[in-house]
Amino acid sequence: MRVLLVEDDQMIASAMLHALQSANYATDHVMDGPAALTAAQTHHYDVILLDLGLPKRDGLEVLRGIRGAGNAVPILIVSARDAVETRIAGLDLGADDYVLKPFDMAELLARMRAVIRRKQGHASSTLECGPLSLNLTTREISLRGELIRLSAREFSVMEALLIRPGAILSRQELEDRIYGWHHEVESNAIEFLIHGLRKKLGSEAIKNVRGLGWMVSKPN
Amino acid sequence: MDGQQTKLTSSLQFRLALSLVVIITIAAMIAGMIGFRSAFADANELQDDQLREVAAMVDANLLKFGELDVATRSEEADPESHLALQWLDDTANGNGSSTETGVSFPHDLRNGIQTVSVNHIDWRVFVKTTRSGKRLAIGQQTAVRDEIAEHAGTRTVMPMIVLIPALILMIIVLVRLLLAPVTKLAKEIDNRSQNDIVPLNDQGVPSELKPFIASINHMLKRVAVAMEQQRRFVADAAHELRSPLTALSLQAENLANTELPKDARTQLNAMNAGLLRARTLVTQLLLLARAQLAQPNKLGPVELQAIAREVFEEVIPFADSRDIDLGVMQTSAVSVLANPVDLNTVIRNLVDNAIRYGEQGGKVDVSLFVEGQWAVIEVQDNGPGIPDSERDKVFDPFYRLAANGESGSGLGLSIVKGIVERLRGEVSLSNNTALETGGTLVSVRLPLYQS
Repeated sequence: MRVLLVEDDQMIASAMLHALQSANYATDHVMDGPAALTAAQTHHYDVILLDLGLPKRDGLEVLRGIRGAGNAVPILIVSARDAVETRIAGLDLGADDYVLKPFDMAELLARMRAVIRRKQGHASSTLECGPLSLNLTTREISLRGELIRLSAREFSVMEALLIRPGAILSRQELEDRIYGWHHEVESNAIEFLIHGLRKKLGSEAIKNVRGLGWMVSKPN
Repeated sequence: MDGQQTKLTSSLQFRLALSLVVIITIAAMIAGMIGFRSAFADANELQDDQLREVAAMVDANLLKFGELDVATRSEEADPESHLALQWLDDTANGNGSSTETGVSFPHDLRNGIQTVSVNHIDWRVFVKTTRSGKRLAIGQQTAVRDEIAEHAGTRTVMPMIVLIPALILMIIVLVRLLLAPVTKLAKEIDNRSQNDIVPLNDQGVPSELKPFIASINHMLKRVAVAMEQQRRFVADAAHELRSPLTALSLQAENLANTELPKDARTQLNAMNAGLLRARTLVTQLLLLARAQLAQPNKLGPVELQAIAREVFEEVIPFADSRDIDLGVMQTSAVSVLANPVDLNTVIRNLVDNAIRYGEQGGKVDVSLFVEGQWAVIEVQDNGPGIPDSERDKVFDPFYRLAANGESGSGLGLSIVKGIVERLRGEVSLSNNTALETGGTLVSVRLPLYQS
């Protein structure tokens, strides 16, 4: 895997280079806009890490240049600019992700992996969260590797909750995902399903957020 | 009392009224004096003419001594006002002297008008040589004449004396009325909040005050620029701090990935905690600077429930780490005109504070509801609460309650206040009455958005 690091701050760059090399990425480092454009045109990279505040040519211009040349390389913007407008501009210009400084290297590496995976078309068919693993093709769920039998509706509840761990889903949202439009839903149907799931997966598996709904906690 | 004194003497209104009153009083006194004197003199002159005319009539035999007496007596009730007629150089019969008044003028009077003293009484006497060669003297008591003249003088001055108090009253009212815009302006400036630097309105203000207002507005503009620069500096400084912080945390992370002795790792963990704190502080500083910057963000209708849920998703791990039961008490569909990021910041900071400063293992409740024209966000905890004396201070940047072990940035409530004020809302703190243990209830009111 080959990475182009575009970063004008020497201190940050050397720390990142060290971490990238430890993670077995072959890394090229450039410090300004024109050099970044040249490197992107002349070499093949699996991912580009792009700072925005660059000398000579701004990072957004570099982004425009790369995409303008028809280069679809995965690009992650790594910037201290946190204004929503800048983030939107970056993503609209064709960046694949936006990481805000200061960041944790572990998170950046995970996002790099995700971006590369998406580009390669390997959309995962399993949803994972902590000890839970949900296979969308076989519609099976396993807890610490052990297969657990769930009803179709219980599976639908878990699927909805595991698509984005940490997201809170209200009763209405869960009902909408599990039942059809013309289906009569009993008022405590969702509570009943959650109760059943907790029995099978452990009471910690689904967290109730008072007044809002339910969630599966993000693993730390 | 002393302050009242200086305030009174330094009041333009008071000084203007006082000087006008003094000038008018002096002018009126002088005018009155002159008026009195000229009226007095005129009256005297008239009476002298009267004496001459009577003498001429007697000379022309139009009047006899006796007739004059009858005429004057019937007209004037005051016997002292009677004219005294007398033939001077009278050697023959004594029918020359005026019998009624009983005075006898000295015989050596010269012709013409003069004042003589007879038996200690002053007389005004006109002496004339008649065609018959005899000298006729006609006299009148000076006191009587003066009394008449005084009457005339007083009548001239009287209207002025009556008018002066009315005039003074009018001046005071007028000065007060004309200076009302100044008083109004002063009140307007007085009632401003410290951050209100909108230029003063010079509509309807006297033209003399316009340059003054212009300079104040000029100064306000410079203050606004200076404030903006200072806030921008804070924002820039916080922004610039991010790069070295990023480098530091990356280095610490690299270090953590190497083989380390156990105590070195403990030290590294402590350092990481410090780094995290620095990162939080820098982020909060930046938020504060932005919250206080004048430029309004693009506003749109934002649903509070959605934002609250967003915030809950972010803070639940923190709440779990402190074993706090975080929940929503009352929620209804409430929208306000704002920027979603700003609202997230507001609710995030309030909930974060409640979790941080609430009792470990306690409860934090969030309520969203409509009250009149307001969208209300309430966050309550069951922590130790905030003493009354500290209520205002907790909104100051970097202010932390004494003896609080938690390591917040001290900026949360300042950020909240900055954003809420920019959205024309209010923040208030009170004790949580819903719980016996007290705790803090923070209430944010924002103008309700109605589609």
